[in-house]
Amino acid sequence: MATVTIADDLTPLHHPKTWIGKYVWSLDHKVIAIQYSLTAIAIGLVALVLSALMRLQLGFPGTFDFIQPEQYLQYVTMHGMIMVVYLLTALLLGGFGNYLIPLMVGARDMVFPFVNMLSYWVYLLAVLVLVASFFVPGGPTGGGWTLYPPQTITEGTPGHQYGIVLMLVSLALFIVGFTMGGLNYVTTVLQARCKGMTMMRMPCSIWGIFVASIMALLAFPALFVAAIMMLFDRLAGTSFFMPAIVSMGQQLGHEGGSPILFQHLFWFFGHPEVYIVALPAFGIVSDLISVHARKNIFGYRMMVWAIVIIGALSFFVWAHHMYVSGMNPYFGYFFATSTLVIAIPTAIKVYNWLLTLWRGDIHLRVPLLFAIGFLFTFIHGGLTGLFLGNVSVDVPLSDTFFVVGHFHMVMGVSPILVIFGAIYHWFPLITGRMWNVTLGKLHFWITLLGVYSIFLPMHYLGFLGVPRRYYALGETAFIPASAHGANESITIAALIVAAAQTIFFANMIWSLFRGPRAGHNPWGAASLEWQTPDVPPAHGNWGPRLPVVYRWAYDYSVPGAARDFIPQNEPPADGERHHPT
Amino acid sequence: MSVIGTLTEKPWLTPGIDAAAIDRPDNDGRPFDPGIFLGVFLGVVTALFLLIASAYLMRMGVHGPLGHGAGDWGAITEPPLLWANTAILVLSSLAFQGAGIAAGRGARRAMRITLIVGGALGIAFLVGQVVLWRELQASGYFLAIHSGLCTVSGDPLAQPADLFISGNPAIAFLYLIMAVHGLHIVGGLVAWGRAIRRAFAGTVPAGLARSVTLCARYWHFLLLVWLAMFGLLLMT
Ligand code: HEM
Ligand SMILES: [Cu+2]
Repeated sequence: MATVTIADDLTPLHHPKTWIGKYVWSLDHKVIAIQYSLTAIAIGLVALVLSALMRLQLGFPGTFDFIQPEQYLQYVTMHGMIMVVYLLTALLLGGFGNYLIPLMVGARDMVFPFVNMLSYWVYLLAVLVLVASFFVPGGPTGGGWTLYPPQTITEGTPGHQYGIVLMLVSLALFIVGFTMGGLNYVTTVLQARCKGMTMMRMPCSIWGIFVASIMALLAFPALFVAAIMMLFDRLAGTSFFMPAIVSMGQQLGHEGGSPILFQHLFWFFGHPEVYIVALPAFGIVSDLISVHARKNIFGYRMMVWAIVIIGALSFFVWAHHMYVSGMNPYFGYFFATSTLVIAIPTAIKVYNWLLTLWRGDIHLRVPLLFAIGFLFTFIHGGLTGLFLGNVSVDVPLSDTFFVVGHFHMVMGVSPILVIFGAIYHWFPLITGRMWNVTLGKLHFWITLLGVYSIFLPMHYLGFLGVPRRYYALGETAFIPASAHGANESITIAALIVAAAQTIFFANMIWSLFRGPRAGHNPWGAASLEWQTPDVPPAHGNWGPRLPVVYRWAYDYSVPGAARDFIPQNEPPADGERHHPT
Repeated sequence: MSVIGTLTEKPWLTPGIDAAAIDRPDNDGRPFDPGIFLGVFLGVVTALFLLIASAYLMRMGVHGPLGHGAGDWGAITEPPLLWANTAILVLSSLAFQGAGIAAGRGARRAMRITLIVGGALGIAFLVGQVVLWRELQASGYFLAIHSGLCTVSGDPLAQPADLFISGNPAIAFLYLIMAVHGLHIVGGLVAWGRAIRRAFAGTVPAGLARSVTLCARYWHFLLLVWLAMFGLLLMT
């Protein structure tokens, strides 16, 4: 497969001349990373607005005429899908993966820059198709982000005519685009590490992104197949998923399809997807904690193994999302067991983060605050996950707000907090400027306390039996009036949190132009990305010679060393051999 | 370096680049071998077709005891063209193998000829698939895209049932598999086009032999996938 390799158009590197060549059709991984990130954040803001609209309806039902049941379902669906796929996956892998991999492993760029660029443009196309679905007759699909057939494509579900078609096409495009990027991330880690950079000298961030990319490459095909088969069912009248069904008094042409088959395919993608989002966050948070606590990450090897083991195990737990689907009960037994087994490596990671902080030289800077915030929300979400992993506990809680509270904690808020921390952490490298710290801390506290006041009460609502994806509760005898009070306060908190994000963006834009100069390596980090000759790194990253790596990425507070960190590319001093862990 | 060896390295003990585990070459300015890229990609495609295969088996009802399958699965008599197309693909793969060998030996003429023959047979395969597709349509298994998206008024699903691929789901899978596999062949042809361009350039570019070998590898892989899928279709 002849593809452009760096070597093809190196000599030494292809330097674009025009502004368009530099910032639009760019082959530079750093520019592509920023393109990915900005696009993901832009579409993520749409999802944020949708969540505010949902909350307005739930907190103050009947006040807003333009939110009818159909709109509510469309908001739920688009919010969920955008957040999970188009924001988190794209930002963590397309954004951070692109930016960090070559810099952290000591490469000049991705191995196949052209394919990398193509990846972004296909992603952008996927986003545009998704956005287009808001404007077609009938609006976007309202089938829930899980898109279960038969209801997603039968009459009565909003967007069953065009919205769903655009959604499926957009997902297929996203997967194609991601695959081009993902192949690059994996091969770059395998092939383009600089001299001395063994796999076990890579920072945890890279391990997380690397394993998550492999998982995504293997899991997304399931969604791809499901999307294509559903398109066939919708457009060509096949019956892959559609059973014989009478809809609106009319017998449809379908016969014999299996909706459960769709659920299996969807969750074979859907569960690994949780970890595709979580593993990069795990990796990044390890590095944030280590750098800002001035300590090597506790149990580096265990951290790496845990990432690999979690990645592998997560392909064997998908049916814990299907306990109430009527599948064979023995399945439930198997999947509950495998689900609980994943808790072991996950718990190891949590202990190691805490032990890294233990007696560290802690600098409570904004990135570390977000990392610690992540520890709270993640432990919280992990514990409720133990509840839901058990069949007998899940059955009554299934499809209630307890589930909504759980997954927002564990895969909504937690990765978002890490992403904020990571942006605060790497912004000085990306732009060469520092943030305003006070605004950063304000943003952190409002966000952390805010998300707690949003999602903690949701668990309680779930215990009461408040169902998810309901437009309004109506007259329900078993739900006390206090639930309405909780709903109102959740909504107010959600609006505050949404509004507080303007602090973040204002700070970002202010710093971009007016922030103090960051200079070289402002955090005193040991990993390679901070050791580039220029800040921000220039095209080709490393100047005339690639760096040579002599040590792992966690030499912090080494006894006897001149500074409290030793960069990865600093040769060992005479006689330096072992240092205590 | 074995996977276990890699994963058990103790990076904190070994500053320096002379230590046992450190064997990274200096790769500055050297071309990257696309072999790994292709290898990982083949992994992805394998996952894709394995998933299609498991969907096939599930829908067919081999998991009957677990509640799958609706009993509407029927045997299909394989159209003779299916056999012919398969034979074409085998020949195409053989030609690519020849091109790979010739390229390795530096036999330019032989490589060019076999490369062209291989690609041409690949195109012939695709054409054969399209003909097969039309034959199926002629025998009553419509792929009725036109009655799907483009009917603006009314619900497309309310169209008369005989306009659709109804009845035997095995046929629906046949369409699906042909489409997905065909797209991969098209992708292979793009790479083939690039290789051809380079093979007929004035001077032989470095790395051409490698590209041809990798093309051949991809082609064998697609043949294997096709044979596996064909096997599935025969199982009905
Ligand atoms: C301030 C932030 C957020 C608020 C206020 C919020 C609020 C909500 C609400 C009200 C629902 C619908 C509940 C229902 O009626 O069933 C929902 C669903 C959902 N949210 Fe969020 N959300 C937020 C952030 C996120 C994030 C960051 C993610 C990323 C994973 C996320 C993923 C989802 C998913 C997957 C669903 C389920 C959609 C479905 O049921 O089909 N949300 N969210
Ligand atoms: Cu799961």
